[in-house]
Amino acid sequence: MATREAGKKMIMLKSPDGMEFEVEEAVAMESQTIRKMIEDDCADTAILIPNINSKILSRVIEYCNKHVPTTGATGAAASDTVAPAALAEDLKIWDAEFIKVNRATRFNLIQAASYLNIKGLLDLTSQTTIDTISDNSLEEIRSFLSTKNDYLPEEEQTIRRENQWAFQ
Amino acid sequence: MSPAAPPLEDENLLAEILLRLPPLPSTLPRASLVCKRWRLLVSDVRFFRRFREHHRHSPPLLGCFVEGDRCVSYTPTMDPPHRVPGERLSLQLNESCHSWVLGCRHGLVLISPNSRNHVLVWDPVTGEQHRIAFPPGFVGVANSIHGAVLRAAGEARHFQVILVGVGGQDKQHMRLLARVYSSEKGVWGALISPLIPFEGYTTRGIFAIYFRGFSALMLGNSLYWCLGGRSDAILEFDLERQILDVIRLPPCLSEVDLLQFAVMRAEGGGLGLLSILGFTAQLWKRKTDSHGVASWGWEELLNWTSYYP
Repeated sequence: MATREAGKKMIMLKSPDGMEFEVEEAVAMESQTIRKMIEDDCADTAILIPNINSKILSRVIEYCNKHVPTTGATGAAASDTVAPAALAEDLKIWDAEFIKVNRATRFNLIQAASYLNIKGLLDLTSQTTIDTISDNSLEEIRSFLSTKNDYLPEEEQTIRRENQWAFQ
Repeated sequence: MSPAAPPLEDENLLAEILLRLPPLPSTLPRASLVCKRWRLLVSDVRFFRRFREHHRHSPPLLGCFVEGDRCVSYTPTMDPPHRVPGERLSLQLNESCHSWVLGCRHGLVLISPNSRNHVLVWDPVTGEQHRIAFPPGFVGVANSIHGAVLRAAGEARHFQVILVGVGGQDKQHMRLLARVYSSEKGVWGALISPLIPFEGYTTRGIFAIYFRGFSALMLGNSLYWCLGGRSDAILEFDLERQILDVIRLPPCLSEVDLLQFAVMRAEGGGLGLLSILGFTAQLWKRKTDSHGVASWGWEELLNWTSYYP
């Protein structure tokens, strides 16, 4: 249900495991999916966020709180006296700490960022995944991503031959 | 609702993640060896377009194209495994005479055969070629025509070719020419041909103005080419407003003989100019004052002799 607290419009987000999170409307609207629901007037009561459990949803809200422009929940970071460059640097450091999570959590965050359409979070989570694997060998990548090599040895050889220079 | 598949099982999310692979030549061939699904995804033309668009602002410099006899050959500059072999990205031309590379941008190369009655737009990765006849008004006088190729932001398929020229000149004026070709419409746009006041007499006499060989610089929506001849100057074409103009060099440089110069992106953005005279290089930046009047500001002096004791 939408309520008012200290002059700010609040929105209730519900996870499928029954938890409820009351967040400022501006914070929730960091998600383009939720923004659309609010703008289309589909958000009078609590919004159920399917597929995203309370643990992940609370992390997503934490991210949006930090990244909402001008009125960040931490207050200090959004002060008018802080230069934009310093603010960006502060966010970068905060992001780097935020994304120090295990693989399963990160994958869940990618799904949540995609479903909720939060570009910054999708960038952060996907880029971190790529950075983790890009210097690894093929075997390491497959094992990290639990992906099976389904090529026959001769198929693999053919692909290597097609672009031999890329495997030097 | 059923539980969602892990991200790497979901085609859309996997694409979203793989888009962020570094934009280096060996990246996609290597990714395609992980498994068949990955290969299918990264060889899809839609993924390829998204990949190019995602990295539009940070493309690596892979190498350079050099004109040769009936060919444009590619020389890679990166180290293995990103070193795409020269023959992979080189082009054999049927033209019986020499051809010029006018410029490369957004994955396309613009080639002008010496016959100067058409340009060739070539995509070195797919091998696709488009031969585009010159529009009326652009007749082949050596060095009096230049061009550029580009794709608009968010555009993966279509491209634009910009042809610029220096037309008739007298002692006080010169006629500038520009036309823009859109591959989407398949036609050249209207002729833009302002007559620009340009003092004809300089210490160099009244030689014709010509284009120096450099490719165009693109800043925002404007393209810049270097002009030489009776006076050095810069040709500016604002693509959005379709305005052609000439920017004079700083007064102290405008009549210097044997001046070498190039336009470049200035530090912090904006138009920059590098001038080289003897062993001295100077950096300039185009600045606009509060009345909207633009002038050159001197930025830095690089004296090469100090590097060679």
